[in-house]
Amino acid sequence: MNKIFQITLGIVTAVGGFIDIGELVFSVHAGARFGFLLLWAIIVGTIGITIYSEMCGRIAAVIHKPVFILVKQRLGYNKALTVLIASTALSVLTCAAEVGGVTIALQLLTGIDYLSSLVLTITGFIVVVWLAPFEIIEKMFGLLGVLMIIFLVANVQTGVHTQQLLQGLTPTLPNGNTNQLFPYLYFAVGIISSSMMPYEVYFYSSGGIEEKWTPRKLLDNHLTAIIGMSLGAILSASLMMLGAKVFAVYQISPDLMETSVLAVAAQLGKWGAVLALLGILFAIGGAVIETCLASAYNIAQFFEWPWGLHMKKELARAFNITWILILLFSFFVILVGIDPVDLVEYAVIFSVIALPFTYYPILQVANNKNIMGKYANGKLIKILGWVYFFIVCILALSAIPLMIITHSGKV
Amino acid sequence: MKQLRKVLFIAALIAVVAAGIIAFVENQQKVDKQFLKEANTNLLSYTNETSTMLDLYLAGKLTKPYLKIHTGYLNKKTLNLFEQITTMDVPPTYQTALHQTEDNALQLSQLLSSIGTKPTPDQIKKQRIQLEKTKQQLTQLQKQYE
Repeated sequence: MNKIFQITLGIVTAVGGFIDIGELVFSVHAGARFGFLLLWAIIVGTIGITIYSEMCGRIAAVIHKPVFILVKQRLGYNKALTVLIASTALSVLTCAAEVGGVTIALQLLTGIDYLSSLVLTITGFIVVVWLAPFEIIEKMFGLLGVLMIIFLVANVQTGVHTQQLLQGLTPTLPNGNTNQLFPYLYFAVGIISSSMMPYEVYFYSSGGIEEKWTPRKLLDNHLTAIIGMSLGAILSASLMMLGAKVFAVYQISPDLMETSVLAVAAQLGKWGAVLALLGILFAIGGAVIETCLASAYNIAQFFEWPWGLHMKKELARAFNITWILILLFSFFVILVGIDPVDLVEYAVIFSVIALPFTYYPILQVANNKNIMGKYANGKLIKILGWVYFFIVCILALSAIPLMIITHSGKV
Repeated sequence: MKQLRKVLFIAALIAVVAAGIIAFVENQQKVDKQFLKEANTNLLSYTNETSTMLDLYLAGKLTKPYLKIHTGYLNKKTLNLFEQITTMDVPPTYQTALHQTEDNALQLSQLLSSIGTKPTPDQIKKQRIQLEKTKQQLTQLQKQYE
């Protein structure tokens, strides 16, 4: 019974932790602009992150090595240093965008001014990460992030459009209109990349080591990755469908993160809107912790410092200083008034370039029977792994040209 | 013969440069038109969003903090757009359209400021009517850019 409870808790946590500001922005915006037509991109992104999360969770459980150690071992010091600099810069930018999102959500809930909200947000995160054990932090934000389910409820309330839903699952051009081809592709790249952000696998694998996973945890890892992420994708699809059903009809381009709440308010009223804001607060709050810790984990693992929230604070001093500095940096970025939505768009698109360098070492190790023994990838996962590696390479090559051609999807 | 070649070369050079200049100017005008169209579309979107928000608030479906804070962010976006429009240098053909877009942006911004400071039901009903007028102007203007 306890085992079932633990697995359920893990799955629910994964569902709540699935959505971050990048998914929120790209899904709602894509829905408002292209209706249901980009639902397939959510499926593609979800299968990709499920395969690679499961792989790196398995590696963490079997050989107890996090992703960045593999990156360093496989790519060598110099290349790994380049990947470290690029991925840290992008994770820190993403962290700043998520901090901005939490600040706005807190303001909308309480009515307090921007600066007070920002100070409260940063102080809150520093206190929580400093004091609470890893498992509590992960479960708290994951479970409360499940409040995002209110978007699914609002979506069901607006009615089920089966035909459009099925059409959206197969890649189709908007009304055969070739002028919309590049913006359509830009949003497709944005949606797939926001599901497969590198920080997600860094955090997942280091989290597995924080929680001292062993091969006995592999069932939890399989189920959490497969069921948790699939259910998380349903939330992401709900955001897109609401964007299509509400904002496309009212001709609203949801340029601001909190605009999505209007769609819930229209269906479920004031309390629906409050629950949606709380869901956003905790879902994005979870992403603040994931991005900030993922960067600190990578830096510590690269320089071989002692790391982890499970360690005594004085033993992992450099690691602890790193995550605090990342939060403080995010504070200053948001303080100068940079729009979190603009910031996350750039972070998602530029992160695509780091994807092949992050996923290749995971695939290599997970495929290797000498390292993984009987836990190495089977035939199907091997094929899927390579297919997805090919997909992320195409994404990496096309993301920036598409961003330039479409003025970040605005044309 | 040599001179003829020279003349032809210079003529070709002039033609290429002239074609380049014409293409550049045309492209610039397209960019200007594109920008004005984008700005107008954004303003229309903010107007629709504000109307929807006010309707929801009047129906008791939104909280006051949400209304006040979100209005503030929409105003910030509108003002950013206004600044971009005012600093834009457009050819005479687009001057009138530019000024109309500028006026609409300013109108919307003033309206958003007043919603943020006085969100009383009576005031909001008046602002809602005003928004409808702005929306009509923007829709009219949008047709010019199509």
